Amino acid sequence: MKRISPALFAVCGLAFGVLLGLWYGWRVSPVRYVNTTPDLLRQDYRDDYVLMVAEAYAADHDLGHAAQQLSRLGAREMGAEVRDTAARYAAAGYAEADLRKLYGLAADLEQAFGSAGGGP
Amino acid sequence: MRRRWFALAAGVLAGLALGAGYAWLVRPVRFADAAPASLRADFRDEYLALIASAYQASGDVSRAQARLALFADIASEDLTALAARRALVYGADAAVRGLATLAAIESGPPSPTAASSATPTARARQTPLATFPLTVSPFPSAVPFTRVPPAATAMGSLRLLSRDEVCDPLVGLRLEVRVRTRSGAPASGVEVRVRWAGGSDHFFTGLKPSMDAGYGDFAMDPDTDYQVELTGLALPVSGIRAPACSRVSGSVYYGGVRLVFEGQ
Repeated sequence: MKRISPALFAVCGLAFGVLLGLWYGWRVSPVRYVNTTPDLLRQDYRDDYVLMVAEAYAADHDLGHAAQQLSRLGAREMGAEVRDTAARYAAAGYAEADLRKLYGLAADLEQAFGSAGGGP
Repeated sequence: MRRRWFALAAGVLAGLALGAGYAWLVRPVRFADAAPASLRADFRDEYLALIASAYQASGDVSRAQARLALFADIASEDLTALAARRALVYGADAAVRGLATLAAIESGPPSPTAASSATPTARARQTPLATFPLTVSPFPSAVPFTRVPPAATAMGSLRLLSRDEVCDPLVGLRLEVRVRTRSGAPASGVEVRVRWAGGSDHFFTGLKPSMDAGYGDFAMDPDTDYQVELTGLALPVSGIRAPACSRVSGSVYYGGVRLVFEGQ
């Protein structure tokens, strides 16, 4: 019977160790993010953020401030982002008053910053 | 034989280091589904201010509470502190007034709404889409708080109901302002501006909810005349000065002044 060389043992150990390390790093103790930014928010929180901006904008009509707040989400086209949120909320059956605020903000963004409603 | 086991162990250790290094440094778990509670401190403050601004605009308290519930570790004192910090930078903007109001609500008795009756853990797991009511819920009348409605922000919508000197050594030179609506409910988030010869300052009602949701105060100096104005809501009250009070022993100390404003 042929003897298994120490090098093969080392390679097998290395492969097993890599798998063990990946399992530990991805599953057991993955990197934890605690200082995140708004652009990393989950979609439903992101939508709610947009709705809050629209609610505040409906009262103060400060488009620059609204655009600044929306820019935190990292969207390249703010108007489109607001419209997408409005579409999701419409599908979810949100009140017409909320949708009006969202569409109003989207329209004003698009008017002020072009049809794409990009940032200032 | 021993060399082989040594080689195996060395391989495992090296592989473990490589694997963990790859998982942590080269290609960590992609994080794209953050919750508001995980935001960096400055973005977290901004998010809370946005909740307050949206509340100030819509008046929907149940929605604001559901949003605040996403931050399981936020207490009314945190909102009060944030309102004070923002007031120094931005003045009495909608977010500051909203934060003061929400702080007063959060410190009040528990609301019977679902959002506030759930356990903190359950509340933290709620998502806005799942919890927001589709209609505006009226604020329960049992909670001793009433926001000054935006429609009532015209000059003269509040009047000075009483002006009293407070001779209490424990109170000292304190100018107390209490604001109530016409129905008598405390009104928080009202900006009170104090002027004197050579200076001015301002504060908000509701930042000391333990006193009263419509309460705010200011430390006066002796022998100084002050003018108090509820910005945009009431006519200025002039000639306010710390009164000279005397103890039973005959010694004299400075007392405070209490102003009560009420909606009309």
